[in-house]
Amino acid sequence: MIPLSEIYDFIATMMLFVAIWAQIGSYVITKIEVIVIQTTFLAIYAFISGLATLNYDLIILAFLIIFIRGMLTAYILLKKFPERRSLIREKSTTVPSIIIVSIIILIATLIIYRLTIYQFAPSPITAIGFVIAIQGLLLIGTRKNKITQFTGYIEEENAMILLSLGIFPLPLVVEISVLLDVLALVIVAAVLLSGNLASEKLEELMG
Amino acid sequence: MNTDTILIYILLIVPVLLSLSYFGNLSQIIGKIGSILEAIIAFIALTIPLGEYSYFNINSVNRILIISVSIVYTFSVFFASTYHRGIKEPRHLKLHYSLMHLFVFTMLFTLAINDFGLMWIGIEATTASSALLLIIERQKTEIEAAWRYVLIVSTGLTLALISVILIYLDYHTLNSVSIINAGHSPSFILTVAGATALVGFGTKIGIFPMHTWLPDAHGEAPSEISAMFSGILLPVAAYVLYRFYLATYSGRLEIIFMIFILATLVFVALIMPSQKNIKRMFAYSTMENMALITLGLITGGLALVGALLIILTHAFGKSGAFFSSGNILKIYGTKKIDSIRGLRNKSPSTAMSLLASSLAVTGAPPFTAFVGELLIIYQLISNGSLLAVFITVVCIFIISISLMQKVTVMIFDGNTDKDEVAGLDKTQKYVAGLSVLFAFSIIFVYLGGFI
Repeated sequence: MIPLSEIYDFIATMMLFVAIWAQIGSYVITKIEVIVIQTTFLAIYAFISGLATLNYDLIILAFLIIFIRGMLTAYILLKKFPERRSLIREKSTTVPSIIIVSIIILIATLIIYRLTIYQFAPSPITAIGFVIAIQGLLLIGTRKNKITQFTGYIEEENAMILLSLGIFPLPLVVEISVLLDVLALVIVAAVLLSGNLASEKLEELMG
Repeated sequence: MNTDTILIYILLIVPVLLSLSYFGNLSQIIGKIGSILEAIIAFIALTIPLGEYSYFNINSVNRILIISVSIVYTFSVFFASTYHRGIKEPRHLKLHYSLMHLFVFTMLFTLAINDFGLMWIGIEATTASSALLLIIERQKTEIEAAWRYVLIVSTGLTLALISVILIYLDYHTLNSVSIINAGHSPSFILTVAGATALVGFGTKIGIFPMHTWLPDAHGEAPSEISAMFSGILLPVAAYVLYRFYLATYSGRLEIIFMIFILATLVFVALIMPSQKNIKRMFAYSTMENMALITLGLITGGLALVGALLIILTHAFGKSGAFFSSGNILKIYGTKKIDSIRGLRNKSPSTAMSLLASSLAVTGAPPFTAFVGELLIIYQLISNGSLLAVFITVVCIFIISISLMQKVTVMIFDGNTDKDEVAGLDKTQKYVAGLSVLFAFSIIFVYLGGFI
């Protein structure tokens, strides 16, 4: 029988691989697929954790994660794509160098984690959650496509739930409210995503 | 459930009900009547004794913020009623009103709620409810500013969630009153929690270097929304940060906060002289005010009173400044400071409100912000933080001089005998004037011993 902790570690590691995958490649549609896969892994984690500890809050949370973030959010973002969406690529030409930066930041994040949060939460799950959060920030900071930037934000939110599960699960009412809040932001973002999908430098917004 | 708790529920429910006006044709009149009603309820809520009420709590700081939120909200609704008269899509205006009410609900919820987790959610909800308020005309710059606002603030606030998790890990509860009243011994985990709260909520407050969304959003939003953002939203976020600070306090954390606050003041002092856009100039002034408010809150003692005075003066003074900027935009059709000249002759009332509100937000006497700054500096000297005093005083001086120089040039330069007074709606003039009058009247509230 595989120990439960190893199953948790495996799922969290898969989430991390998916976060790295999000940094690779320039097709925007991939970023949404990445979010769906990562969210599914997160939901599986919460579900198993709920079953193992007989914590029904976590089981409810798992279903809400898959429904709100995995399905609804992805659906709303996909609706913002014009036709022939699978062919839309990011204009940035720096993607290969971002991958290298991403790996370097991953290592740096683990060192920071070891020096700070590890002291009171010495768990690989927490470490991975922390790393994914920083990878999400990197995705936001280095890309110009608004959908890619927003998937970076969702990735960061996924990381927070993983962190919470790894350190100390928050009360269900807070977790649900967080999910709903993010959903509201997705709807708002969908309105703002109309028109040009690239973030622009405008003279009026300088200085 | 006692009457005080019911009153808090009413205070929260009224704006939610008002937001339903989207589905009718009377959104403007409902908004005006409803916002006055909300202000009256907020004044009645002042009678609620300090303490815990079901899921809520009333303390000496949030009761003042509740009042300022309600009044600035009323002013903004009235200002919007004439400011957007020429809008092409009436549907957008209905949505605008509706979202304004929801936005106020999220702010009041954040102020009243007693749970750190729900407080975080309230602040995040203010972003969701206010982002679309920026894009009433659906212009390219508005959409880009709104996008930056949503993305940067939400990303920052997500980091603040780490703080909630760590507080829950340490205390096993999120009840803010219980946590703060119980007291705690400083620990590494709480210092990390406080630092992540600073980064997260600091993004919303406009603490350097997480402030980048602020000048864009304030500069591009309609004037009444800039007034609400600057005058009440940011102080609400500062209040939340203050509650987190109380729950995680340590000597090391105080130093971290101090470094970020002073860095903000230095940044504003450096960037203020080069400002070319009137609304962005006031946005940077907001960063200064927020830094001072946060400084007062974390210093405590007399500085806390100073912070409360600045919160109130800033709420009305900065609203007056943004309302005046909106009026200037209507008259001149531009936000560029270099293109605005001869305001004294073109619109004497706007010139007056702009000058007075600028004096209020820069902390000039007789406005209470002056007393507030004095109290903060006095407390810092008492605490022996002389370097902080030096940096604060120098920065305040540079910022005030820069801002007033630009304002006086707009008002007093380029006036000629041939200038004709520009036509401006009375409501807009009155709202700008009333805001300044309220900012001035805070001195009597202070002298009367109400703070």
